[in-house]
Amino acid sequence: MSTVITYLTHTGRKPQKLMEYVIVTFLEPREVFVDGDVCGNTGEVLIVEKGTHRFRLSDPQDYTPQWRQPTVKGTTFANPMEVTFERA
Amino acid sequence: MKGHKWLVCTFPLFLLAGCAFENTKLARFNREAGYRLANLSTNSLNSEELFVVLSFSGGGTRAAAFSYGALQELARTPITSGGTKRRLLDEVDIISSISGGSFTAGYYGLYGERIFEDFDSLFLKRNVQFALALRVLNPVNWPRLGSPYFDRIDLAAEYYDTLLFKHHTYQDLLARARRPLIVINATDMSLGSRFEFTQEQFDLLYSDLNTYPVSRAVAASSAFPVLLSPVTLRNYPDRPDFVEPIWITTGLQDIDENSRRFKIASVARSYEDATNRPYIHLLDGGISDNLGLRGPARSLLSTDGQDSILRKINRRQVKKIVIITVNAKPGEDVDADKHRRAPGLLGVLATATSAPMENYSLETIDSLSDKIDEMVKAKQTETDVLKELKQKCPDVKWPEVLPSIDFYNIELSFDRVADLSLRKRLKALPTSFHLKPADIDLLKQAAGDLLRQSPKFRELVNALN
Repeated sequence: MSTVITYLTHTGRKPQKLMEYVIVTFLEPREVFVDGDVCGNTGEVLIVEKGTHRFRLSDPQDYTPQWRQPTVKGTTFANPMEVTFERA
Repeated sequence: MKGHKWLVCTFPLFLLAGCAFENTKLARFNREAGYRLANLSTNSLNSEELFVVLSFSGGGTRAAAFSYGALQELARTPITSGGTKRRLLDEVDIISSISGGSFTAGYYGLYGERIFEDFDSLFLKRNVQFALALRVLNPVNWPRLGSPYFDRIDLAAEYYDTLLFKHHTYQDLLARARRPLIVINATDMSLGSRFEFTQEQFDLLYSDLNTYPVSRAVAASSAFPVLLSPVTLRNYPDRPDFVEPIWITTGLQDIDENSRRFKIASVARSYEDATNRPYIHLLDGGISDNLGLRGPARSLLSTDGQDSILRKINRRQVKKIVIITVNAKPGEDVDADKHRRAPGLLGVLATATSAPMENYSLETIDSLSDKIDEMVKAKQTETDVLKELKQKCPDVKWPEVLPSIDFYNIELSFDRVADLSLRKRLKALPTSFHLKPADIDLLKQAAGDLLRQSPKFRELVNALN
C-alpha cells in the first residue's frame, strides 16, 4: 500500500501588496457576499485582501453558478478582477 | 483511623473549593447572537459614518492610567458633526486592549461614565500588586492553590472581580446594547497566537461567552508569564450544528498567495479539533500583540470575520476612520551595560519576555501605516485621474469607483513627549500594578496633552466641527 504525500508549496516570502480589487457583475443590482457576509453591491469596486474568496449574490437564487471562488491577485482599482454571474 | 476518614471526607471539598470557573457550552450555534459588534447598535450619539477604534497597550498600571487619560480627553472633546452635539468619546466603536489596558477597557465597557468617578481611587492609585501577593501568601488560600484546578491566576481573577467587575459577565456588557465593543485580548499559549474575548472567537470553542466573567477575561489578558499562571478554557467537542466560517475554508487555500491569512485560518481551524485540543490555555495578550492593534489592523485590511471594518468600507457605511493607539511602552533599560558582569536569570527572563513584544509592536504599527497609505494612495490616484479625464472630456460623467475614506491614524507614546526630562520620567515607570499617585496623574495628563497636540487629532476635530 503506497502513501501519497501531497506537497504544499510555500515560498515563505512576505506579500508586499495585500489589497486587491474586484467588481462583481450581474444583470440587475444585488448585494454581494464575500466569504459568507455582505460586502457591498454588484457594479461597485470592492476591496478585498489578496487571496482566495468565495463570492455569491443575495437572494433570489436565480443566478449561476451558485458561487465563484477565484484567487484574487495582481489587480489594481483601475483594472479589478471581474467576477460574473449569469441568470440561471 | 478517624483522622483518615476525616481526610477522605473533606478532600473532595478542598478540590471543590479549588475549582476555577469553567466556560459553558453553547446551547445551540447561532452566529448572529452574543457579544458581537453587530449586536451593539449605533444611536444618535454614535454614528456609523465616523468609526473610532481605540487600542490600549499592555504595561500594568502605567498602561491603565495612560489609556484612562486618553478616555478623559475624548470625553472633553466636543463635536457637532451631523447637527448633533456630542463628545468624541460617544463615537468610540471598538476598544481593543491588552493586559494593563484591559482593566480600563473592561471597566469602561461595563460602567461607562462611572469610570471618571471612581476608577482612579478604586484601581489606578491602589497597590494591586501588594493585594495580590497577600492573597497568595494567605494560608486560607493554600488548600485551594494546592488543587490542580485552581492557580494564582484564579486568585487574581477573584480579586479583580471583588474589586472592580462585581461578578459581571459578557451578558451584562451585551445588555448595555451600546458601543464600544470591548475586545480583550489574550494569547493562546500553545500557538502563540492572539485570542480575543468575543463571541465570534468563542464560537470556535462552541462556548457561550455570555456567561463568562469579565474579570477572568481581564485576568487572562494580564497573565504575565511565570508570575501568573495561564487561564484555561474548555473547547467543546460535540457540536453537531457548528458551521465553519467560510473565510477559514478559503484562507486555508492561501499558503502561497497570502501566508499571513493562511496562518490565521490555520489557527482558527485548530480550535475545531477539540479532541486534540480539549483545553485552551491563555496567557498575557502582550505575547502576541502588546498594543492591542493586531485585531483592528486585521479588521481594517481584511473582509474576514464578522466585525470587519473593510466590509463596512466596501458597503460605503463609513466615511471617517479614526485609530488611536495608546502605547505605554517604557524606555529601553541599559543599566546592565554599565557593568562587566552579565545580568542574572531575572534580567535575562525580563528581556526574553518583553523584547520580542516590543519588536512585534513596532512591526504592527508600521504595517498598519503602510496599508492605510496604500488605500489613501489608490484613492488619490483615482481622484487625480478623474480630474484629468474631466478636464479632457467635460461632457462625460466619470464614476468614482473607490470608496472615499478619511483616515486618522494617531499614536500616543512617551517617545512623542517633547520635554526630555518628562519623557525620561515617563519611560522609566516600571511595569507593575503599583505606581505613585503623582505618576498616575502625570500619565493621565500626558495622554490628554499628547492627544490634544497630535496634528492628526486636531485635523479630525476641525473636520468634525
